[in-house]
Amino acid sequence: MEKLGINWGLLIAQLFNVIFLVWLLGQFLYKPVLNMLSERTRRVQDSLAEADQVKQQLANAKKNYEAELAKARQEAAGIVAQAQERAKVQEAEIVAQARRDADRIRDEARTTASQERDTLLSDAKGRIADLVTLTASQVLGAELQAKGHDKLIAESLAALDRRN
Amino acid sequence: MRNRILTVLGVLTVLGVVMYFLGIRMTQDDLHISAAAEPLFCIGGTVQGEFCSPGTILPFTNSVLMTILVDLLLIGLAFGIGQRLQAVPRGLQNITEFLIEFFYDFARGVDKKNVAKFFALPMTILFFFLFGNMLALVPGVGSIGVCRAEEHGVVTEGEASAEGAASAEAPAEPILIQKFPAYCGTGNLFIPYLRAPAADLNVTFAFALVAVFMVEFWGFQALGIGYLGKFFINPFGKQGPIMTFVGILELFSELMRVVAFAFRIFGNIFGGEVVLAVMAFLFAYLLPVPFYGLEVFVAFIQAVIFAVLTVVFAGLAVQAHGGDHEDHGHATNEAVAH
Amino acid sequence: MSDHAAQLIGMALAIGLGAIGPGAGIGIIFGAAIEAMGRNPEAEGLVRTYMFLGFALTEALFIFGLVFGLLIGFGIL
Repeated sequence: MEKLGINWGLLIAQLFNVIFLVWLLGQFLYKPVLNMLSERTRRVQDSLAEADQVKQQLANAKKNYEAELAKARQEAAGIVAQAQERAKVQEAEIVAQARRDADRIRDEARTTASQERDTLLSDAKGRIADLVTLTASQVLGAELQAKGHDKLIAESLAALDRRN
Repeated sequence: MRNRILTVLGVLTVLGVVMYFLGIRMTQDDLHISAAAEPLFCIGGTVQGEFCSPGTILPFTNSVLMTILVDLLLIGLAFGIGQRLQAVPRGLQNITEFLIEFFYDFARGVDKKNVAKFFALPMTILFFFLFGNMLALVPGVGSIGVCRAEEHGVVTEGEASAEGAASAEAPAEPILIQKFPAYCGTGNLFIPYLRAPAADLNVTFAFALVAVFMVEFWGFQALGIGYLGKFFINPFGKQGPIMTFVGILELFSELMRVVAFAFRIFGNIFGGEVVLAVMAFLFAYLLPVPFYGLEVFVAFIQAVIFAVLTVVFAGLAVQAHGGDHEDHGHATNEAVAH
Repeated sequence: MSDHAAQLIGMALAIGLGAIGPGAGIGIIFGAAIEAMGRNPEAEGLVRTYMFLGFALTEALFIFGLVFGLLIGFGIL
């Protein structure tokens, strides 16, 4: 035993050393370290879950944003189309109106012109007839009745017309 | 790179051969091997060569000194790291956490339910022997010490420092190294200041006793008096008389575990030291290097083995009985599944 | 035969005979481990762990022989 180095005093001292070490390390090293490890695991899991959540939120927000954007774009397109439609309608209306106006003005102008000419003609005819009548009466000196010469007057007027 | 390594090795070999023939080498007298830890001083007695005088209360051996160093290291670890843990680990805290987590995961694979109860003892075994064995491989641990007369008290107390194992020397023919001032002459004992704790049977037996005692204790705690049913099987029962015999064998193997534990790590570490010393004696230059690497591996793996076996035995002890072989297979399966 | 010669013979026998069994055992362990790795390369890490466990346990037997051989050879026992 002695040559192998076993000494009862030392053995007992080492036994106490072992027990002391196990107690001390268990209390002051393993427990806090294991707590810390599990705590860290928990925290990492938490933060991973949080990151997932945030990512999800971000994706949702992006989706919403895109949907909104599409909607706005659609709306804008709708508005533009509507405006174009309306503009077309308006244009057609305006054109039609203008055409109508032009037609009307032309008609009016034509009517007015023909009326004036008619008036002028009839005036001129009357006056010519008067002049002819006057001249003839003066030339003939007779009490020529207008009714007897109506045929003559009309003929001369027609001639006038033709010459016009 | 390869060429450079080869060149360096070649130069070292040539240098070694030259040194060897110049006489800087070990002789057989320097090959001092002691299975017992040598006392540095004796509490309540006097030193007599390698031993303390009869009636000594407590010899303060070199392995006790080393044990105290390792203890201080571990206590420093506990209070320097364990008490001021940071959420973001760095440096030493990383290593400590890695070791603890690595072993905790293993222990959980063996026995998930009781791991919290088991954990402190095997982890302490792992830490103590890992640090003890590794520190024992630091150059100077086994080679710096005092010279002392072979018998009867302290005669020479001169300090002897030795580089590697190469310079602790002896006489026969005058070898150059014997003229060195710190040389430990013939008839003197060389006592190193430090010795690996695992190379002292007191330390290994203390750990083995505590480990086996705690394993049995946990067994009784988990199964009550039924724990004894693992070893004392009714010969007229279902399992038959052969299992009775096996049970008795189990009981003996349970007790033999103390010896197996103690001698396994003692043998590996002490044997490793002897191998290194013998290699240094044969040819002190470069030859011990591969064995040194092997010793680093052994120092690590034996610490792990001691701790792992403690966990496995504890896991076996708390399982309800039903044949040792089934238990064994079960535990292995669990460990593998993990 | 002197005491010292008997010691040396005892040491040589203890180490040499003690190396037989563990030598075969370590060979079996590594062979089986390599075979297992070849069959199931994904389990390589696990196999290596248990391989070294088995290696250390087997090697311990040789170490017993070595230690007692040394104890005999150096006259400690």
